[in-house]
Amino acid sequence: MKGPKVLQVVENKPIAAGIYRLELYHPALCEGVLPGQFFHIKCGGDKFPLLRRPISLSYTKRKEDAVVLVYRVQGQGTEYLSSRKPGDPLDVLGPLGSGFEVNGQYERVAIVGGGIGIAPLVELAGIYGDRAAVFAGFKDETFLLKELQERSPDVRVATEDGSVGYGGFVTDLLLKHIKEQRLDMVFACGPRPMLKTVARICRENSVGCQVSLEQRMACGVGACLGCSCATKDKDGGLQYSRVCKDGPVFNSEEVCWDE
Amino acid sequence: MSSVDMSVNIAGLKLKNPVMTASGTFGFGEEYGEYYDLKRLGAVVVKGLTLKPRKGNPPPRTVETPAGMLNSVGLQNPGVDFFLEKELPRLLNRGACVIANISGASVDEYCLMMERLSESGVAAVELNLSCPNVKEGGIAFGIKPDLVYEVTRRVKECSQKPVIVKLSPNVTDIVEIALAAAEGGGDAVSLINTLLAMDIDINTRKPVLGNTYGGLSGPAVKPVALRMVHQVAGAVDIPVIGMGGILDWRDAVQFILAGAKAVAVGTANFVNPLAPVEIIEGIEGYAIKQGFTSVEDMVGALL
Repeated sequence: MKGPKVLQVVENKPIAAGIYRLELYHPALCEGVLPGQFFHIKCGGDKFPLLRRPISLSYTKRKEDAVVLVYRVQGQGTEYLSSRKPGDPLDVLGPLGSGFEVNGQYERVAIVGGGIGIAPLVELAGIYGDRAAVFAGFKDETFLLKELQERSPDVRVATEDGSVGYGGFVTDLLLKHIKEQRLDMVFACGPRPMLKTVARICRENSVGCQVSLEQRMACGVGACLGCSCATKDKDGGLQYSRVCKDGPVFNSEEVCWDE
Repeated sequence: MSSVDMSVNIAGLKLKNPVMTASGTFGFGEEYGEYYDLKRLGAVVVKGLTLKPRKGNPPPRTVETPAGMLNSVGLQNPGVDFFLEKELPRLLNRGACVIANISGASVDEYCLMMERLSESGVAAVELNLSCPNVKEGGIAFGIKPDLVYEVTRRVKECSQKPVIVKLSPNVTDIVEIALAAAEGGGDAVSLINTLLAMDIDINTRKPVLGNTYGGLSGPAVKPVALRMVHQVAGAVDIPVIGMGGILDWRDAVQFILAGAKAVAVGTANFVNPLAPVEIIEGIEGYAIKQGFTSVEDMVGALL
């Protein structure tokens, strides 16, 4: 029967301040999961915290039959998650939601991540490999760069404090790149202001763009309508779509960025 | 073969077991139908319907709170006609026993929806008189006994189906409201809806929910719900459907002992998609252990 699975924690370690890398063992999951999909994880011992927490796939380790999730400790749920040790069981639902488009026809793509939003893009970077330019933006401390570099030869870094790579916003790098290089698609995940800028840059340069959105979630499967985001309906009016089921990946032109 | 008769009779409607889903937590069954056969449920109570489609409230719509959660979805739904045309046939094809849930902005709207649903394959209709997340409509029907009586009576006049009146806990005396629903001809009452609540982000100094207020559900409300079910079951002669914070079969058994003939599982679906079926099995196991031969014998069996 389809339902939550109990998976074993292989490793759960901090990779930067407040950022953890969680490896879970599960052969079947590893096969079916798409970049951009998420797992809905019970983050409490017995009952509380009550609701599951959605954590995106970062990348798969197919040889080891493991999926790797990278998350930021933000509240009680992720606090609990960060306390799990190798061998501990975790109650996991998923993979859930829509993924990023995997398209063999695309010759050149850009992958743009900001902060913890870089995590869901690592698997995608592996799929597009040398067809992708990867842009990773951080406030200060960097993470997951090695994982990105192993998958794609062209990784460009921006930090807001200028400590690594370009000093400024990652969207500045994208803007420069999009003027120099014809792109078939841009994939992005990160804070909403960053995504809004990425969407605008893509629109102004007539390049398609897929964004992965975040929202507080309850059911994670599309039933409760709790994790809505404003999108455009077929007549251009406002509608609320489900981040968990209709997304988390949306065409950036569908999103009402000012709502 | 089970030695326990799990079926319950709610106003002439025979349910194969006492476990249903709480409106608004189960969509139109499509999503959870991927996890188990919806035929296994006593009934599927679908997402609240309105006469016209509703977009719902701006996000954020949910937040976890101690031992529970708030929601302010605001009755986002495709409207009763879309439901009848698209969603209901799908649910009936899956063999589900379907209970519609309706919200109107006026008595006439309730009647219009009821007339359409009366001719459909739904088994019963639940009246939502008290959605905490919708401002317009002018009157919150569910908080005034005379209005509860009036809307129930009028809806019953145009209904061929059993009518369940869903009660709000946001009232001074829920027994008075339940009695008004029974007097109006309601075939059953269901309770409780969510408790009106709010949460505040002290960093942004803003309400967490886009709608400011939302409905509290989950284990936090269970003791309140149990008390209200117990009070109402002792006061009305019509069946009571109990809900509010049921996470597992123990919670469900508590409601049945308090006098509920059936129970609805809501927030628990979000935690465990298999919760309703596990609860059915758990109730059966409890009945066997306690020597009950039928669930109906357990109803109100509080000593």
